[in-house]
Amino acid sequence: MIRNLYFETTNILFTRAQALVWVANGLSFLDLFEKSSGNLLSEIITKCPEEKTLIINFKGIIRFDDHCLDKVFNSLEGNRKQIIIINGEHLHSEFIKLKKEKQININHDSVNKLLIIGNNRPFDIEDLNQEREISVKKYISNVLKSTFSKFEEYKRLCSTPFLANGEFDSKKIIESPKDFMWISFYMSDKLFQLIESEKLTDVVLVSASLRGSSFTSILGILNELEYVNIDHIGPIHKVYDFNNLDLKHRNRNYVYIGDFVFGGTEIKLTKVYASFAGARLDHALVLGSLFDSSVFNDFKLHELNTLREIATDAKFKLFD
Amino acid sequence: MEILHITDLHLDNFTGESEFLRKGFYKEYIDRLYNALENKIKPVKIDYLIVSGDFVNIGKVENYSDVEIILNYILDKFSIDKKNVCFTIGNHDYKWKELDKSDIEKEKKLKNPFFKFRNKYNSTFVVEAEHFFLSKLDYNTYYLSIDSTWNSLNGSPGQLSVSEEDKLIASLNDNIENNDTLLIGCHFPIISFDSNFLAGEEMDWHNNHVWIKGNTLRDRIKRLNIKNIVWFHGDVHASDQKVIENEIFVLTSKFGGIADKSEQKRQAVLISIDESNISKIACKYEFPTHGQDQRLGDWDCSELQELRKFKINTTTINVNQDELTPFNQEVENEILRLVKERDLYKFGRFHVSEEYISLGWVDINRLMSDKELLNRISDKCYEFISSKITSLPEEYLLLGVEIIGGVIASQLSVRLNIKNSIIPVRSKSDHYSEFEFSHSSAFDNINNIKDVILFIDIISTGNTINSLIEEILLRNEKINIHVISIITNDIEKKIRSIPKTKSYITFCTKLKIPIIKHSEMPTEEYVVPNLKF
Repeated sequence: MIRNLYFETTNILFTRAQALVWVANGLSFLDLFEKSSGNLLSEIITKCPEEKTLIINFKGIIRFDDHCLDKVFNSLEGNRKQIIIINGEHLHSEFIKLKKEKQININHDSVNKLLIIGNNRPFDIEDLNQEREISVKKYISNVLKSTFSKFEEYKRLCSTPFLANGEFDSKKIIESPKDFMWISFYMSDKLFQLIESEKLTDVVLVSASLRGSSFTSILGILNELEYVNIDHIGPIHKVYDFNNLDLKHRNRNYVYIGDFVFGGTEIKLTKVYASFAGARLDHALVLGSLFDSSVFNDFKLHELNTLREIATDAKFKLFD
Repeated sequence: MEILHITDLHLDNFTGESEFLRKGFYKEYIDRLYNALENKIKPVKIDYLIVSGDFVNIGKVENYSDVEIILNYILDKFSIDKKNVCFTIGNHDYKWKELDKSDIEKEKKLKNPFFKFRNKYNSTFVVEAEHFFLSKLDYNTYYLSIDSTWNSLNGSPGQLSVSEEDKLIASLNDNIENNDTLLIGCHFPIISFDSNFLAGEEMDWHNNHVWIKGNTLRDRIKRLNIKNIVWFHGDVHASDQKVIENEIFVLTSKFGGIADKSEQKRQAVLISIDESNISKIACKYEFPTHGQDQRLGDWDCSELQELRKFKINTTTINVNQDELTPFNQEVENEILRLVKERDLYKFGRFHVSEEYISLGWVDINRLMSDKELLNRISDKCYEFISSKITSLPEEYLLLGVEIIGGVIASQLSVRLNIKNSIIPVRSKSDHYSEFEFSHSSAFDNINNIKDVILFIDIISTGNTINSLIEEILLRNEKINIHVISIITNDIEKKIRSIPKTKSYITFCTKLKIPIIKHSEMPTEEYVVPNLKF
């Protein structure tokens, strides 16, 4: 289990506090770092060799439970291990309070917005961040690549006008606890950037597919956003209930969440439904798209990766 | 213990003509409320009055003397002792417009008129701080008033610092026992309610009207494990309630103000707490006309409605039992409340199989879009599954049926480190690839799986779940199958157990979904189908 909770590269181990909370305590109190999450963190510290730095992303955590760091500080005593906390400046005084009488350094680097706990050896945060980002991108790319299965011959992809020599199936991600969790966090960060950069307010997430709904629900929970899962919009959708998009969402900004996009029909239909409900749908966030995002005019497509880049042996052609 | 909750008096011009609490009308307005309550409960005996802010309108602190006249009349009419009045401050109760930047000292000065007014009533505090006070009402009941406007700008919800929160929590820890009841007055709602119907009409509504920054405080109070925590909110001018485990959130609409064109009703709420349950009577000021008119209208009170029972029925496993009981009574109550209040039950002709038509349809996707409900159900499922796990995670498989089953299975699989998969059951409709079931990598290792936990949204006839179980057993007949459903049809011959399963739990047993054969219905020419797979 613990191996699912961190990544290791040449110079660093890195993890995310909310990942520990999800595993230790479920999704009900994701902003609270409690004792069982601290115990998992202490296990990771124990696994971390002294020469490597452990980077922990505390994004989303705003509270500490009493005693949640007892084992964490115990595992830092009597060794030269170094922890760097990112997105956790606001917890500086809490770390100091919970350290109690233990002789462990806690330093605040206000320039780089970091907390450094334990060994105070010098480091170049830009190098470490670059190493982390490369590793994450490689992991995401590999996970997306692994969703492609080759057919023996060209087949028509369900609900699309394409013939393909294989199919991308996001179920492979959902089925793997580790991949589902880390892809969810990665998408969550992308969604946060999207909302910030596009200055979206009153956001409601929407999915219109079986697989998309697993991502939409978890992104709604991780980002404290409302979400709606609609049963099967697509080229063969049987319209039965226009009220799927609630009238209470009038004037809200829908963001479509999906897995893989080919022609974007589901997104376009969902956009029409959104306009029926008096709302907007101008953005879609998906795992991957067959086409470059620039070909979609009705909405702005934000993708984790382009399918042609991640699986070079995937071939598509239009169905005659 | 009977508590009368009112909020948002918004007294603007006592001697004017347009308000319901105007000098020439307030007595009649309050008398009518008393009479309406008397029609429901006799005798009307109120122990405590809770007023959760906005006594005056837009900082008109000179109106506090007039508010006193109105409140004293309420106390007289309902025979409430002055020391049993519980107040909390609202954003209209001080001149926040004079604050152009965050300035605690100036804010405190601006709030002084409110404090002077408040201290004329209950001033016997167990703990008093600038941002909260705690009073002991009786031997096991406390009132906590939290200033949700503390350290705010522009009249929106404020923010407590970590040390201010710590002080408040320490005060509760020092004074309150687990078996006590804690009543909390807090002007801005600390959670989102379903009836936030103004959200679409005001930019940034949630930030302006929901105390989002109070979320951790709520969480810390919840985890003190106090028997009952009842939050009393105002501000929103809408009426709602939520029950989450030991927390009850009462949102009451405004009591005063002027007649306007809005749909917002004036309201007063009676909360009744006894040894075994908490109940509510909601009184609304109704008009005989479509619009509002300050000269017309009368109070209409609902019947007594139970909000929470204390004896909770938990972890009942329904294998081979005569009674089908929900896995958790409070979750069932919440499901029923959401279905009712969000209008999630539709009646019509819903084609569900070649043989049967359903006459009822629960919009389960919208029901489970309630994050709190989804998380509560996931947590309860986790408890149940954890009790079943005796060997390695590789020997278990979580299978989610359709959207909701898939959502729960995927989220729990991370927590339990157990593989999961999503199973569509409407494959005949061409929504899915024909290889959907057989291509799942979750089945690669099926011969080594010992237990499968199946999550399904609704069991109506039991046909879907039974055929799914048959499919799984065809692949490995030794597998133990456990079924978890959100709703099980409350039909006459209840589905109390599912054949060939090791265990079966459900979260809601009280919704009827009538199923009849196609041959018993008029043809589609006469009754058009609502939904056809």
